[in-house]
This record gives sequence, C-alpha cells and structure tokens, in this order.
Amino acid sequence: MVVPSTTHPGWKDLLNGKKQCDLEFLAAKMTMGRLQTYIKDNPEASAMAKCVEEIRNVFVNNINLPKVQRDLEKIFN
Amino acid sequence: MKVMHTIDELSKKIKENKSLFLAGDENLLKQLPKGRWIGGTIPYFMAEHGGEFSQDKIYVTELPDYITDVKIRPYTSKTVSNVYKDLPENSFGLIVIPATSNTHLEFALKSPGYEGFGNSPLIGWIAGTDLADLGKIAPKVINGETLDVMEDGALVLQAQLPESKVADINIINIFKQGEGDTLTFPEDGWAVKTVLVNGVETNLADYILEKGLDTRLPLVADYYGAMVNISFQNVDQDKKEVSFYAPVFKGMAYKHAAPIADYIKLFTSQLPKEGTDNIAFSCNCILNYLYSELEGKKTGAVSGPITFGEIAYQLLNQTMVYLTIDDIS
Repeated sequence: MVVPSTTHPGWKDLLNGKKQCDLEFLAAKMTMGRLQTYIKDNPEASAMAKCVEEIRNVFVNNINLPKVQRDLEKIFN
Repeated sequence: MKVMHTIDELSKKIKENKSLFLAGDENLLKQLPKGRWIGGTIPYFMAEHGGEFSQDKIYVTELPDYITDVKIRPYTSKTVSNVYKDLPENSFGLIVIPATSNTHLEFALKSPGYEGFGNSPLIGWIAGTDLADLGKIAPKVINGETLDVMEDGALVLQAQLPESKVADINIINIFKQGEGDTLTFPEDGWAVKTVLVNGVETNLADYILEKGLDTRLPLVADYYGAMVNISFQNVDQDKKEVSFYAPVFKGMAYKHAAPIADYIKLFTSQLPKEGTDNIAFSCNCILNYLYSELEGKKTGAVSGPITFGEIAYQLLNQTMVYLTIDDIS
C-alpha cells in the first residue's frame, strides 16, 4: 500500500478537522491530538506543512500494521 | 504462564543468554549475574494469580526466540531525545526510567515532540519503590550488561523483529471524560496554579475544593479518540498549587474523569476480543492497583509490573499498556 504524498490535500483536511476519522492506530491518535492543538496556535502554512510531514511519517513507518492500512483507507477514501 | 521467578530460576535464564525485561525489588535485581537484561525497581505486580506485593521474586518478560537482534541502549536526560529515532526499522523498544529522576521529568514533558515519535513502538514503565519507602529510597534501573545501577537515566532494550512479524502498542484506559467543565492550562507543567475553566482563569486548588472533585479520578484529554490521563499527585491548599504524576500540556482540553463503579469488570470488558496470547509485554499503574484494590484480584490473563507511570510512546497515568506481536498477513 502506498502512503499518499505530503501534497495530498487529505492530510491537511485531517489535521484541520475538515475530515473526521475514527482512527485505530494509537501513535496516529496521539500524534493527531498534539498536532491539532499545535495548529490551532500556529495557523501559518509552514506549521501545517511540518505537521503533514510528521503525521505522514507515522503512517509510512508503520505501514505493515493492518490497522494503519485501514486508517489510511478511512482518511483517503 | 509463569512470570514470577526466584533469583536462581532467573540466573539460569540469564546464563542461557535469554533477552529479559525485568521488574523487581532492588536487592534482588542487584544479585543477578551479567547478561542481556535490563530491569527496574518495583515490588508490586499483576502476577499469575492476581495483584501481588513481592520482595522475593522478580517479574520476568522474556523476549521470544524469533527476535533476531537485541541491543541495550542507556540514555541520560540529555540524550533521551534520541530514543525514538534510534529504534531500527521493524523493531520495538522496551524502556524503563526511574521515577522522579531528571530523565523522567524530561521524557514526560518533551517526548511527544522528539524526532521520530510514533515511528516504531516504544513501551515501558517508570520504576518505583515500596510505597512505605517513598522519599527514602530512590527508584533505580539496572543495565544487566554492565550491572550499572542508575538513579537517573533510561534504559532501552531494542528488539529487532523478523520481516514476518510486526509489533503494536495498545492501551486499556477505563476512564472517560466526564460531563463537567473543560480545563485548559496556559503552560506545560507538572505543578500548576492557574487553570482556564471553560476559558475563565481560576486557581486550580480553589476549583478542586469548591467542586469537591475526587482526585483519585484523573484529568482526561482526548487525543483524537485516545483517552490520555493525568493523575493528581497532591493538592496543596496552602501554596494553592496542584501537582500531577504526568505533565499537563498547554492548549490541550482536559475534563475530570467520569466515576467508575467496578474496575475489574470494566477492565476485563476492554481486553482484546481476539485474545491475549499475542501480548508480549504489559504493565499497569500503581494508582489503579491502590484505588481499585487489585491486590489478590486478577485482571483477566494479563500480567505485568505495577508501575509509577506507563509508557506507550509517551508517559501515561492510570492506564494499562501492552505490546502485541503478530504475523504479517
């Protein structure tokens, strides 16, 4: 399974709350909880880009977990 | 499965070159021979027959034989920021840190922002002492390769998985956010005076007194569906200061937990439905052990040390954390 690139708008939609997903993967949930708080205080584009890279890395590095693959399906489909 | 071992039984395993993650009384751990193990001090356990206090047996987590490589990595408060990025691809890390050490404080406050957070599973616990020795004897961690005894620092046992296996971390937290006020904090910290209650600045100690909050119930933050607890340590009405067993974070929305009726019933209802045979390590919190009176009681088939803090990527409170290893399908 290929993890969408950082330019895919789905990452931004996830982080700014436009798309809500019931994620299963604990590290993704913890990272999302922290990054969404960070983005509220730092609305500039560079902060969003940094957060997209960070959350994407969590998915890329755990892609072998079935729950990570299911989470990606929820985010991008 | 037998998890509590005498020194003689354990020494045999060490000599067989088993890779071991240990929890036990300081005097016992110090008697063990050199080998591929790390350990932390604690005399409380969820053992084979239920909650147990023991100063004559050690809780043993033995890594499966299919683990292809094991490395023991010591860290200081200055280097612990490397803990996630040092984990190799398709590995997991077992970590132990002594309670109240500088490394504990540093890791708890800053680890969510460390490079590589979440890229590989990191799970473990905060070492403690017999509660009767609080403030008298420092919690410690011991590196079995060198027999170094550390009151400050962290030890990580890095375990490399074969390509056919994958590890994952889960938590069981029976606490949920209650229906009450939303609490936010202006700064990160272990001890606070000021809180924003629904956006209005208030003294937290005064708020707790006025509302009559049960401080055995934690504050709970919702991390995108993962409930993360912050347990109360002390409410000092003279200093008007409240301290916690884990730091609160600026901007995160917390609520006081809803009350629970029966810990064991709620806990066992949350155990994985597919079974617990794939659990390679778990631990639970000393506050759950105390407040829910777990001594002598069983929490399903799950065992592990009872700890002064649980680590599932980051520091947690009043939560059971566990690591599973499964075949990649």
